Amino acid sequence: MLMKSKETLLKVAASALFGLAVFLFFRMAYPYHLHFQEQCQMFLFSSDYLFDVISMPGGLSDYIGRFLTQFFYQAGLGAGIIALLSVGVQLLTFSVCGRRTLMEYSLSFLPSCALVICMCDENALLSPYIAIISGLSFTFLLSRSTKRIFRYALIIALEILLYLMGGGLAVIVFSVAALCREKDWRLAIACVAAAAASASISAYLTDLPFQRLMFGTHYYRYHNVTPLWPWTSALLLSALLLADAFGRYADSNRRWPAVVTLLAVFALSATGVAMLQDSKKEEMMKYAFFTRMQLWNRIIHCAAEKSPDTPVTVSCLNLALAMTGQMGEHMFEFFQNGTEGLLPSHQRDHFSPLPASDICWHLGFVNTSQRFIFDAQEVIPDFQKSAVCYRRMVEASIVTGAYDVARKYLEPLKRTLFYRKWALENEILLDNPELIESHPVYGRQRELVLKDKDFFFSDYEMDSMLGLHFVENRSNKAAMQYLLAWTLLNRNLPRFFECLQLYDGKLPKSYQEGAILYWAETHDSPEGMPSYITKGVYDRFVSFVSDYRSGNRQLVKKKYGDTYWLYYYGNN
Amino acid sequence: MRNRFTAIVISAALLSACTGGVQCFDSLIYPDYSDVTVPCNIAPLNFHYTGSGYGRCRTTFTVGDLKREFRGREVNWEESRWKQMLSQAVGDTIRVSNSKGDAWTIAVSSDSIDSYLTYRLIEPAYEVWHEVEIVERCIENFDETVLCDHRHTGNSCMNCHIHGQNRGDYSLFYLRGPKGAAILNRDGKLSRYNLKADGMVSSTVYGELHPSGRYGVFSSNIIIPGFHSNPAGRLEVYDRQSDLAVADFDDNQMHISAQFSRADKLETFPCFSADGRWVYYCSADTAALPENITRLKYSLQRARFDEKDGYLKGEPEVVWDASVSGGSVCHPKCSPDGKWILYTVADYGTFPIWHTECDLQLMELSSGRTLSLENVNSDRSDTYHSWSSNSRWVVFASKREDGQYGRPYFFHLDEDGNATKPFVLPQKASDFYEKYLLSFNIPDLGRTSVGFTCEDTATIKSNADEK
Repeated sequence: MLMKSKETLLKVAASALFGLAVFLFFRMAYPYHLHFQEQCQMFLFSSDYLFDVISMPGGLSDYIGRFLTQFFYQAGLGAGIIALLSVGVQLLTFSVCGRRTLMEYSLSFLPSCALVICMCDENALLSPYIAIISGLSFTFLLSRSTKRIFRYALIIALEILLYLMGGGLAVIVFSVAALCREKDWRLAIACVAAAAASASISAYLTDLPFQRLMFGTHYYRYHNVTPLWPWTSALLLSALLLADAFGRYADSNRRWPAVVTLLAVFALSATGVAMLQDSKKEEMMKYAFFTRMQLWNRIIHCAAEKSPDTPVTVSCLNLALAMTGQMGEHMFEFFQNGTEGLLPSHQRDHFSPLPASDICWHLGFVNTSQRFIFDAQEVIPDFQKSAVCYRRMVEASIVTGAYDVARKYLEPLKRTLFYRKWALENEILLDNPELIESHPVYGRQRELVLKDKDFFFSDYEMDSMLGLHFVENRSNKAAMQYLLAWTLLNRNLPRFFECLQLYDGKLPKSYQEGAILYWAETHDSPEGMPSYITKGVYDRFVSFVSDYRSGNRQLVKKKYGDTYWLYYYGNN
Repeated sequence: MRNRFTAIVISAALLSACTGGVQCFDSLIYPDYSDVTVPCNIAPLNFHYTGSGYGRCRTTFTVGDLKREFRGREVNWEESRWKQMLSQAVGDTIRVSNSKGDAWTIAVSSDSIDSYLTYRLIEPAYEVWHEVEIVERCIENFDETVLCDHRHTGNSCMNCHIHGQNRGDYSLFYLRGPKGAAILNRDGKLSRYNLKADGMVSSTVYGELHPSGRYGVFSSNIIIPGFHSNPAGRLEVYDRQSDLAVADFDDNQMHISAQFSRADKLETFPCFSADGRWVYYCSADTAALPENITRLKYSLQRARFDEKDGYLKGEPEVVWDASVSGGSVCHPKCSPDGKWILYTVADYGTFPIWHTECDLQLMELSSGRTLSLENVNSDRSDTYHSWSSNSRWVVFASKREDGQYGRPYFFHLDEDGNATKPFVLPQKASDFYEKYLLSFNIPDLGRTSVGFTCEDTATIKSNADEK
């Protein structure tokens, strides 16, 4: 009895520990992947959406997966959901095993671990979890009491039903479990035939490729990719069940081998997660998320800990600096990669258009922001709509006065869980357009957009466009900072010096550094140098010139790493 | 600060005409089918009441002694009953009234409309797309056939489908990207054509098919997109270069005439006259673009087409002079009876779909008399039209509802050029257009179905037997 309770305790502890580890990983180390996943979809509480999704083979698992993914809006909820699903798969795996030894308990973590590893990929979806859970759950509907022919008929019927609900993963898991229970090779043939027939009929009805219908219509965000890890999970599960049914275990209920196996499984999984998690992407998603949420100080804080170095992250940091009025003072304390770090060029990926849209939005380029957000949605690989994108399209439409279009975008948002309140608030604004001018967001944005001038957006003439924006609205300080930063990053000192005349107030450090450099390049002596260049900057520049001429690059980098001069000479 | 920004500054005065403001679309019913004229073979006009308090409303349709009553906010016809009412009302008027005291009419013209409409469905996005398809819709009911879609073509882009003389067995569209080509449907057989030859600035873009079935006239354009900064504007597309060329489908040759490939001229949007002896097209002097985009104004011209050798010949004649009229013309289409030419006039440029001021204009070819079609045009973009084969109906793409999504609208034109109030293509669900977030591009009418589907397109795409 005592032994039994100890075993139970061990099992509960192992599952709880596993769940906690999964939760902590996604909550603490990988939360922005969850936000990213949420922003790539728009789950609608509508019958049209339901029928649209479940009409595909495997659609129900897809629908439930999308339903759960909407909770990734809050990373804690998302991490909890993944943890619960992972523990659920593990417990069901063990429950389906016939012998239920301690060793099997340890090995039952393997399919779950494969799915956890899978979720490190931002394009992985929750539907494989649901498919495997449904496949395993359906085995409990099988009964031994009826005649064999009826049992087999039920298995085939359930398999077809599972195919429609969960797709190939659900079918294979269920089929293997049923086979292990019946131990009849004829059933295996019947199951394979039923699965192939289901996929063939679906191929005829849906025009989808047979391969996709066999290996999952929507287990992964890219339709043409069969994801490795969910199928690895199903394979491990099948192997475990087959070994349980047909294998000859030694005394597999011994505690220590089971514990050692469990630790080995955990260690292996942790290694897998460590190898496959992508911290670079996580950082990019973090910066993009903070930018979307306008958490400027958190961006600067993150950058202070580790300087960003990709176009997306650097551009998010620069926007944060501009929005807090610190660009001129601090931008060269961080890595700068040219004007790409101000506005990343147009890329056909699903990372960069969203932050690019945010940058344009805050600078007052509403049309360009709208263009980026359209593209951000269009590049979502599985063609889903994005609530985040819809939200920005509503905002842009309101600012540009396209209220009818804004209403169109609000309609689906009203049928979401987390954006409904916002949509209803904005609908009130559309019903009372006089409130829009005084709205803190829209009123401000309308001030920022050009009213008297028009030009075609051009990556090559950003300085002109920024200048126009600032000249037309002097409160658009971000445009001013971007204008000066653009010229500095382009190493266009004459243009910088020209634009500097527009600047009011005490000159920040980087601008002084740019100004003195321009002065030094165009004058023989400091005599007559503008008075806004402080003595401290002047003295440091003299020292820089001396050190730079000495040729000691390491020393220069160490002493002047926070200056524009180092960037200018290509050593940033 | 430089005094002169190199960016293109377009005068605010010009744009004040196209503020993109909100058009109130407050009609009693949606879609607005009140006091419209419809063809005798149109699909049921399903609608719903837009106001509150219509939940228990009784709506009665009457023609002669035939009555049909609906209860509630929605009016959804059974197709057979609608056909019955329509057949009773040919040349007459259906009177509609409701228990709230509202009343309107639906005139049923004895002029039928070509039964099939093709269009491209696409998000009105900028440079990236994913869901794009060319669809054929039967106007007499709600049946749709997908002619080409992104799923079957490796996510290729595709350009719109045009019929030759409204024939279902004579049409053309483009597939872009790898293995892209012009797909010609001739006598119901699909063939791939590479419509690019030495001396052309690009592959063909806009064009039309000759009545003989042998030729097509096309423009080849270097197209540049520009994105307005002003919220009132949006996307501008202009040609850096554009010329005309004739494709001979029998001899697999492109015919280029020197005077229609001049470097100092932009020539685009060619179409044949009804008898095929003339080519009408838009022409403008080249200008430094985009700086002078607002001064880029296209005139309507025509040139003789020699059917014997398939070349454009002679000196072009000006049909509509931009320097006199002040606007810029695009997308001319001759009526099949040869009496009219319908085209779009915008303030400037060659890409009308984001120009809110862009309107349809009709010209009587024999007299040069122009009609402004005031009851057809809206304060948003109205363009890309197509004639029915009897020259009595026109379909066009209009963004009148929200300024963003193009929808196919129809209007009737009588002998004297009198046009009726346009109505939108009927859909099964009355709220279809309220929810639908794809644009209908280049609606084009056909008498019969084209008879191919997306599977056929996929086959022809994968078949490398290109001409």
